[in-house]
Amino acid sequence: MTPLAASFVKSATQFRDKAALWVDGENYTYGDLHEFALRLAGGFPLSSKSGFDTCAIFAHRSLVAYAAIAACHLARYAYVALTPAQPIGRSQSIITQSQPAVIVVDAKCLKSLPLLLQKVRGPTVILLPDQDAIPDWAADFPQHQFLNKSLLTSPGEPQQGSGHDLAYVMYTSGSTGEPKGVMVSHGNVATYVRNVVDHFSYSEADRFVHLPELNFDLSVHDLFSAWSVGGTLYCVPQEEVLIPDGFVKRHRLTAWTSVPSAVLILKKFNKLRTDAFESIRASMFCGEPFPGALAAEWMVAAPNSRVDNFYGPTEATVAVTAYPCSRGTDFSVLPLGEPFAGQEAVVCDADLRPVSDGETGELLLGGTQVSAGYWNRPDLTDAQFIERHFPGLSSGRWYRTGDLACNQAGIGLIYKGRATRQIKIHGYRVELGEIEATLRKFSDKEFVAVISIHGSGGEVLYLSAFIEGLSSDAEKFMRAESAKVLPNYMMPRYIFSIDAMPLNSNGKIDYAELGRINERRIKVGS
Amino acid sequence: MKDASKSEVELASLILGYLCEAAPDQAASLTVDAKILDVIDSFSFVEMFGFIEAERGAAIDLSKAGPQDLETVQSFARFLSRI
Repeated sequence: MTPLAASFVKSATQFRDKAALWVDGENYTYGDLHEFALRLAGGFPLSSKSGFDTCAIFAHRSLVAYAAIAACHLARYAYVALTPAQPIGRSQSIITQSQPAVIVVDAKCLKSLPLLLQKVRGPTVILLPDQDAIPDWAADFPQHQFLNKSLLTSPGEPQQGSGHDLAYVMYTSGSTGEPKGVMVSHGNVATYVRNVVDHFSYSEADRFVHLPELNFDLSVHDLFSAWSVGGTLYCVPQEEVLIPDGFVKRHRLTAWTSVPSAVLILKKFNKLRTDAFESIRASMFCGEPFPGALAAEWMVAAPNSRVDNFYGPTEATVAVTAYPCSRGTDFSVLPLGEPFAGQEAVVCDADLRPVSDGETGELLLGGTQVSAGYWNRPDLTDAQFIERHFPGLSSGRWYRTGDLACNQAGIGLIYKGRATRQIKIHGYRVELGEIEATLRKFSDKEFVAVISIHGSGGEVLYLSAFIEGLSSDAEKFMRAESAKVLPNYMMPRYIFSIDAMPLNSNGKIDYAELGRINERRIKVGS
Repeated sequence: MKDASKSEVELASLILGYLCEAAPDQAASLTVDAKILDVIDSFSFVEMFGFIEAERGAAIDLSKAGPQDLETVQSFARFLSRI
């Protein structure tokens, strides 16, 4: 079996009658979930043995979605999570690229499925495990095979697999206007899970707060940590995602994972009261700079918890370094800390030579969590993943993060910003170039620039766009069309028409000047 | 003119306007019964607070809000009209 399937089956055997998942108000035992996953796997065509077959999961965070993830691994498929929280245009773009052999759909997403299927070229198996009947419109897609609940009764046989097989393909923002898929293997995830289970001493007694959407790789942390140790995953209901304090208390949850912005929201709601999260014993934050003052407030609200700031890109499987807050939170932004066992980090200058401690450079990551690269994009893979040997380090292959950092003795890595135009908004990675390409397409204007406006902790507050000679009608059209393909968090809060794009002495867009223009225009508007 | 004392109906209209702009492909089907977090994500929800605060010209005290207050356009408008 693939490593993650083997780990799941081991827990399902050892903890058969114990809850594996709480979702939509129901508890599902490991036995229930295993049985459902096997029935789903029975509907998958035999995998090609390449280890690169994909299955798209078009579902909310529902029982179907979680069972489908387990089914993918049992059937030796990599999953591609499509969340209905993102515009259908974006899901269509991902489907166009990944061309999955199987699509699993839950009831809530069924309505949008015909739109998605417009982009699926080859014959595909469509699994509808919570449908009593196949919808009439399926006749419009005769090339696909539709299997509903009554046709998914025979359990599938778990397929042989290896650590090189892909576990998932996670799509992130791409600078050319199309999302790009990061290929993460079972070996990558199994290593990560071992590292974090050791780090937090997770056990079958742990009850995990599950907040992230499945297309965000923080979800991988909760999901596979919980299932590898026999713990229970508690999927926070949609209506409590903003303020999950009551949910955590009611279910006496013990393990928290989120982006720091989630704590900021709790603070806005005045929910960070002393002991408000007293049942939590392990808190993992990741995805964006974590202000030290905010971490200190969380430690008051969750006084019994170990609190750590994790760092890592999707390309290195969720996180590679950790900084324990027990070492102090008196930083404007918490350090990134030290790499996990078996993972390596090096800070380099522009010529990719390691710099001395205290000097700032680009952070490169090596080790067994570094992924194989981008789905069907060897050009991008070659640009970001490099072969290199550094004195004293064992890795031969490195991922160039584009993050600036410095190493400080006794503290570890410290974040110093970005070397490229990629930013993080609430943990979501965003290429400003992707937004610019989209706005350019729908405005039909050549000169388009998007900038990010930052708060005092380095966090991105919002985005502003500048477009030469944009009329109000054109803006209205562009906004409407862009919102069909860009998720909320990628839509600029302000769109300004300007007479001429400011350029620097090299003839390039002067982003610093755009920042000043933004400030002036916001002041005038307020 | 900024007005801190908007009615529930006015606030619902303000919220609906924001959601229609954020999700134009769903605009035609949005009503006061729409679940806000089915339309925008939690971080956009916080952005929306900022928008409403700016429109009201006054800060919103969210400390008394419960999950049920944030569920639909109507429930959120009702909550806002009472604070």
